[in-house]
Amino acid sequence: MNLPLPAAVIADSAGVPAMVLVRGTLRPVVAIGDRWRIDDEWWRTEISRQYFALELEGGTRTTVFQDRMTGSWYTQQYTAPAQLSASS
Amino acid sequence: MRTTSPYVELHMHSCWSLREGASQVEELLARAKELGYGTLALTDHDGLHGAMEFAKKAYGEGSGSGIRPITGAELTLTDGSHLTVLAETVEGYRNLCRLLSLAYKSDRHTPRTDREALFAHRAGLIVLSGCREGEIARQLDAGGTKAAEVIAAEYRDRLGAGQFYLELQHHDIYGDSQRVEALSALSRRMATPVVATNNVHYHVRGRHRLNDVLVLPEIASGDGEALRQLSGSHRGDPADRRALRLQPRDRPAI
Repeated sequence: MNLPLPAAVIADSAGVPAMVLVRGTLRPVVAIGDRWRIDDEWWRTEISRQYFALELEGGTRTTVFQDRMTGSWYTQQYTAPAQLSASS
Repeated sequence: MRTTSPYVELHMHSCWSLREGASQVEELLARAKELGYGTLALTDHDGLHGAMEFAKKAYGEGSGSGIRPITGAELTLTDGSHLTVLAETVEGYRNLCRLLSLAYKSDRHTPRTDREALFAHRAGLIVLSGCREGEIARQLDAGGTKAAEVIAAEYRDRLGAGQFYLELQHHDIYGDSQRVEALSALSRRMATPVVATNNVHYHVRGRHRLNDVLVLPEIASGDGEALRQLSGSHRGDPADRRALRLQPRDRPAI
């Protein structure tokens, strides 16, 4: 299961991640590889997430999202929908 | 006096696209007028069902909205890919009608347009490369850069100068940024111009739920397995991204 894990993220005034807490250390974001949204399942429990694919200082790559319904941040390994579809 | 919008939406669906497109022609026109549009295209899927109503209500004497209408359609090709086709002239309109007649003649339930037929009836038409289900976009998404070049070259060379454009769309979906970058790079390599469109499916954000129900009737039945298998559809689109707006959705700053 690829469940989201709570994350500590410091974002700038535009909501873009600037620092991410990794193993007790705040790591600056050095590059944002991509950003995208998922809005889905309004007919059940609505999902609205803003994802960011990040590169942190030191070269670590991670994907985080902010839950737009609650404001909370999470990390989650992201698999593109096409890849999901191809593997199903 | 309201300033006319410099942006012209060249890819827009009404409810005549059936199962996609959740707004009526007059709702789209009324919203376009509010936004200050001077020109607007209607490109319903494989059909011109709303074209006459669109033209009359847009520019008809007495009752028109004053918006210059462009008649077009989003054609489904024989491989299932999509292509946006606009009539530039009366001859182009006739050719678009011919192409659609041929498509329905081959299969009236699932009309498909043959690329060779498009090239044979190209006069007066302007062709855009289509949405993420376009032939070129699909190739780029699959990593087929060379194949995308070959296809783009064929459209460019066989349609003629000024008749073919690479279409850029960004709806904040995973993969949109990379696709826009790849299409822009292709444009530079192939000396083929780009055009930004928004692939409008409804006139205001609030209509997205109806659009979702039309695209995915399984929502109404709560069929979770069917929903899971539909990951390649419009499911997951941010709600406000396909509403009529004053400019195309730009690539977010990253």
